[in-house]
Amino acid sequence: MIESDDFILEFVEEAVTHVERVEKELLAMEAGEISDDGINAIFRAVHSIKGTAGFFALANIVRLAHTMENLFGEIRSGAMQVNTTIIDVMLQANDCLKAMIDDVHRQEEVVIDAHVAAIEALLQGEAGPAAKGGAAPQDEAAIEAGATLTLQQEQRIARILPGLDRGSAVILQEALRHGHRIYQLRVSLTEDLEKNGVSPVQFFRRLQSIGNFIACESDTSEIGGLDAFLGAQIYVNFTFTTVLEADLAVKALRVPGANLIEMPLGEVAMAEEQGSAGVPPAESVAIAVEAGEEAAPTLVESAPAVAAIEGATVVAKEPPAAEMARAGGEGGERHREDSIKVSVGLLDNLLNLASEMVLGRNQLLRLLEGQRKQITGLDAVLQNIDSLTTEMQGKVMQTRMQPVGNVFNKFPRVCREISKQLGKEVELKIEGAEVELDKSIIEALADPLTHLVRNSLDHGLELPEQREAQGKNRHGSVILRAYHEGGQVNIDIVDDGRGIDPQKIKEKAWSKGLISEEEFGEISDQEAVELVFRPGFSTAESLSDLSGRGVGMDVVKTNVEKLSGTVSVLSTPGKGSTFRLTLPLTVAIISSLIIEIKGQRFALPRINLQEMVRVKAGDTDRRIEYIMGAPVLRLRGHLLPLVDLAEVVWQKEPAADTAGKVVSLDDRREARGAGISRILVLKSGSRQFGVLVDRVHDDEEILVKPLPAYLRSCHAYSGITIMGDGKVALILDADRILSMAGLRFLEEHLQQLQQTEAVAGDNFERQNVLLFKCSGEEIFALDMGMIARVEEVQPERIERIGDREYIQFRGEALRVVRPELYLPVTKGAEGAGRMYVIIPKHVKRPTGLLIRQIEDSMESTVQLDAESIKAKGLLGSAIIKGRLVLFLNIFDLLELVAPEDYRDAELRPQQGDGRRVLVVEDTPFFARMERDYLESAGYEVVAAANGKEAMEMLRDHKIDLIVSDIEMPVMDGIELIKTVRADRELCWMPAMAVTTLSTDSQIKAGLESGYDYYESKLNKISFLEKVKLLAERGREAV
Amino acid sequence: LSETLLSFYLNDRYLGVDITRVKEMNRRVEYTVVPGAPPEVVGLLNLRGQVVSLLDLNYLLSGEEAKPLNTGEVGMAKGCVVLKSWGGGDTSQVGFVIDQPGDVVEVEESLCEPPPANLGGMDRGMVRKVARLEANLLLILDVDKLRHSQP
Repeated sequence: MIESDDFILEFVEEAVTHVERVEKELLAMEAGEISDDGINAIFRAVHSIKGTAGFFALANIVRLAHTMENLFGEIRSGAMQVNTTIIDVMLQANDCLKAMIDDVHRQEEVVIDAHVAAIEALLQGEAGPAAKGGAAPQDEAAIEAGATLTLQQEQRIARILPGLDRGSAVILQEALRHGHRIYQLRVSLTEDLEKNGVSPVQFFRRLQSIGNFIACESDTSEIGGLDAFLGAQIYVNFTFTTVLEADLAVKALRVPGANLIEMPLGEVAMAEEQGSAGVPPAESVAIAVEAGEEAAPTLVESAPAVAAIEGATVVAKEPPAAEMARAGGEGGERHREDSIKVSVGLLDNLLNLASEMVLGRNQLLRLLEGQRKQITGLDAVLQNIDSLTTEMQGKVMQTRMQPVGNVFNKFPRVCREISKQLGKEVELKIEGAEVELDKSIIEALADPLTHLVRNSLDHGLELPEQREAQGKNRHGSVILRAYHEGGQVNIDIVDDGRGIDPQKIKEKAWSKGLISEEEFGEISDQEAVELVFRPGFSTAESLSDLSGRGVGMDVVKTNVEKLSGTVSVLSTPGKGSTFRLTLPLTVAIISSLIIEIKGQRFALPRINLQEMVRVKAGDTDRRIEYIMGAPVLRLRGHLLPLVDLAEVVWQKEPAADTAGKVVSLDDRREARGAGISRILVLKSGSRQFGVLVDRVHDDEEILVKPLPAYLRSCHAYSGITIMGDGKVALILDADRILSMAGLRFLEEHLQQLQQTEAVAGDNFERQNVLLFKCSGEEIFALDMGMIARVEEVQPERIERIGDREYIQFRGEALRVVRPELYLPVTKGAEGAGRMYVIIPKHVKRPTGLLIRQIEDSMESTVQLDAESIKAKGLLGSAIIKGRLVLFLNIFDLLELVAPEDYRDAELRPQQGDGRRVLVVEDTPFFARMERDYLESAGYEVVAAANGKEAMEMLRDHKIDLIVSDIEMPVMDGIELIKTVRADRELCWMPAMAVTTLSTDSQIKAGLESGYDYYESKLNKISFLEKVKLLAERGREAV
Repeated sequence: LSETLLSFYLNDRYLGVDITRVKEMNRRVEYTVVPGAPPEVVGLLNLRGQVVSLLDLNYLLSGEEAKPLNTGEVGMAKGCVVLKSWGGGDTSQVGFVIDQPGDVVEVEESLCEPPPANLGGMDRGMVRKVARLEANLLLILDVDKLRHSQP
């Protein structure tokens, strides 16, 4: 009995928190904060009270809670709206409930009729006049919740669970939708619970943790009140739903299995959902159980139930984990959550403060830089504050980051609806849904993306018949792709439709008076296509039917620009269009380059900066020339128009001196002592231009503040910021500078630019590369695939043993080396401040590369030039974003560092014995590396860029073995090996696949298709070992 | 009936503003010049993380543009008065450059009168009234006129 009292006490404690929750939510609603969360919270709270109280036969509490639950079930399903009357009635009922719970032993004495009547009046009053019968709200709820229960199923529910109230029915429907099964469980309070030391409340929680409680009934007719109840041997019948199968549910609840029966409804619901005829077997099962139920509960072991379970496992798949988690989350207070809700406002505040703190830290560091040495201990403190602040800012930012999938997810549906409407067939592909962006950006993206996707479907894609007539796939394809590039996120909306016809756009723009007749003739195709972003291009008539090309495109542009992003469009008539949004990761803080003009500093957002070119006097490749006074730079075979930024922002008319003679840019700059050293290449849409600045300072993360109202007329700026030293700096707006400078781009130039871009984009795989600097000026690069991780390290943590340096990494000593000491590059002074360690993959002995600074990480095409700069330890050089970058050959480098680890390397030249290897690889970078490795081991190498070329090579040359990539254009590695194995003359050919794809299933597929070995890119040693094995096999075959 | 004013000197004029509208007064401030800014804007000042637009009262009163600074990023002013923000969603911070701060003066309404008709360069109605003080005349400014008119 004492235990029973404890049970009661536990129930009371829990019920009180529920009642308090109800009160709090009701009050919040009264204050106008009506939210679905609040409604759900109330619903769940009263539902829980009802459930547990049922255990103790607390009839009055059950009855009142039940009525309250019904009311909120209606509200939750949307059939009723919260109003002040409801809140009043509910508050009073809740008070009564509270009173009963507080004095639970005398709850029978409390008169609840008034409350019950009041609530029921509300229920009838609302449901009645709205002409909604008993079933209607449920239907509506079902539709609202996307439930798919048919009327038939509902009737079945009603038959099997007679008297099921609406609130519980809603839960049941939801549960079924999540693939739950319905069970009935008979539990004896004394036998099953008390004996095992389980309290009813604990039991109830356990039940809620595996599924949803629906209803419970206990035969309490002979028991008068709580005291009698506690002494009696009493059984309670629970109805609940869970995704678990019967035996698992029994284990989870720790009750005897014999007490559990499964209701076949789950199977019924599922069978019908599948759209199959499915009625006869389901019907029979239902009837069988129904019959069984009337006599005695059918045991799990009995035939129909087993059939039902089996049927359910066959028809209804286990819901995916995510859904289970969601179903778990919906159940409310089942378990302590390890996350809490925080208002976005608070996070915004936190972000602002963190940003200010970063600025404060910068000021502090700058101020105390000189004193670092003088004041003992200052250095360590500063470094600590430095890293703490960085980390804190990072974490605060992280709290706001959300996957872009949150907004992408709605597009399959949108796509389906629109394409149906338009009679088009569309396949939507979503890529990069995991890419994260600031919450505010994600939220603001929904509209522009919808516009763009709708636009692609509507105007981009042709009708299926038209597509077929043009030899295209009936299915149009729309790709929604997010990816990182250079510290920003790009979102591409790609369609393979008809593209944009510049001529038509021009005509339309002209007819709307957006361009003059003169412009009509002059405007380039690219500029014409970009006219779709002009305000006024889309008109009211086309807005109404959403079919004018460029509907709301100006709105898209404005919205994206509000996020400090850009939008551009590339289109090939007949082939399709790509709209590209380039977005910063976060809105508040942007990465920008600090530049100086006329002694004043400005911030230039990195998003606009394409590359930086250094111009030296006497360098003939990069010299500034003049065409009728207009300065241009020869840059990689193109002429880049140049603008002196000082002249643009100061708005002077500079081009002629007093005598009216044109003064060259050089002289003009010389006159104010600036000279020309660096040119920043900016991009605005697809247009490029170079700007001259006086000095280039560091990159800085800046907090963007809006431009004060007084400066709205200054078009050169997009905002202001406060810099590390406390000075205000203006943020330059590249697009506006372009128009202020009066640059006009001609057709051919843009086409050329596009072509270069297209060539680079089509023929080569894009690689992820990490760019970094050692103590010198050179920029080094490594393929991301070669890097296991990158760690920040404080210089004082580097320990010296002899002439070697080590750091502690995961409890072990990790040797670190400074690459610049082994390479023919500049070596800078050993500075203070943090450094980074790059830990490469696939190396024999873990060794870290100690570097000074991470420059960038980006996806880029790499055209590796192995000839211009040659040295052991270097693969070659490449131009990435206009900068000369040295690619490290990590194995050679580590061999230089620790020759003793690689002694067997000396044996290698004999290994190859002049055998000829065909390397099939479309990425020039990897082709180069493989060739290097093979040649170093004495093989002769011939190369092919895809399977087709490889087949030609195999026919024309004597080849000893094949090393091939899998993912390639034209003919991939799988097809290649199948062709080879099918060829009578070549079928013996030893072959291995070398690829970055390396999941088990892919390896299996590779091996099954005929490769002898599978190697991941690119561990030199194991690569060569496998090649050696292959070579031996080849010899045996011959 | 009297009014409390913060007085200051600018370009040999003796000026005053309603002290309840003043947030603070600073001496010797460095500000950032904005190339291409309209003539009434002197530059931008960082006031503890808030950016204040510094206006040129001299230009607003007389239409005389200040001599542009040569090169060098920092503008220097002998002092500035920063006004309280106007509220109502307008959180922009505005101030103006002064030559020298004066005293806080209490001015009897009886000593004030509308600006004389022959006062030139007043098209903006910047001067609200003129107070006849014993030693000199105080031009009392209407700071609301400094509010940026366009949204």
